[in-house]
Amino acid sequence: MDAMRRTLLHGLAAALVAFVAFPLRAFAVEWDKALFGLADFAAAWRSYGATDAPASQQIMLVTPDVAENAATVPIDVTSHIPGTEEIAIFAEKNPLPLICRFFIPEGTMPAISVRLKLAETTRVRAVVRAGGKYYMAAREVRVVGGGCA
Amino acid sequence: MAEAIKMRAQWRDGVTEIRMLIPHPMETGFRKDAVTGRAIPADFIHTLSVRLNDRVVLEGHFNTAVSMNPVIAFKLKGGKPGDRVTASWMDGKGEQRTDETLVR
Repeated sequence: MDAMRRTLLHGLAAALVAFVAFPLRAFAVEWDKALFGLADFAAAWRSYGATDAPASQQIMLVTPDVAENAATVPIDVTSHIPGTEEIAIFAEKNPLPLICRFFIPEGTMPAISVRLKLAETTRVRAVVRAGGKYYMAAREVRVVGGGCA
Repeated sequence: MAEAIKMRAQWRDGVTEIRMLIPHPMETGFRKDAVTGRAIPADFIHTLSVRLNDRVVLEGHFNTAVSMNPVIAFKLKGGKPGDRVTASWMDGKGEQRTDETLVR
């Protein structure tokens, strides 16, 4: 009887933990501390896996030419590459060049709008991962004043 | 306690557009306090997850250079008015917040 009760309690406890942890379990991929912590652009780019990513006309990267407010620079990335699974954004001259990654499940359109901080005038790169391959588009954004101040 | 996510989900012609503003300081860790000169510690959202009903429709991983009070917009095929959109974030301090809205 005790054993059964214990099993039942364990079951309940597990269910409770599963319930409480649900919003966290929704994060399918762990935030990659080492990758996001890379301060050198070349190292971050390589470590991300985009070293040989070709430039693609099928990625629309929309940025302002001049950032009026470097603390909130609007960026739109749209991928027309079939099977887009992930969109990431880098700023080459930011102290931490990898700014964000978006994981795109089936059914979600591979188009994302976000606002970034830019430390100085820099090339902004959008990377698309599709079918395990990487593609990129880049645009220079001129910064007047600093975004990290 | 962090402020609620401001979120809108609008359905049109078979496509649901989700827009949100997430109140959060998104401290980079690179700034110094103007008065004391001490470094202000980093404090930023690193993970965002958005669900439509029970299906994950977007997952975002952020670094310090996503703007203060992040503004995110994206679209998905399907959805319908009345569907529930849930957004959850977690920051480096372990703070988290979940808010929801209905597709209109």
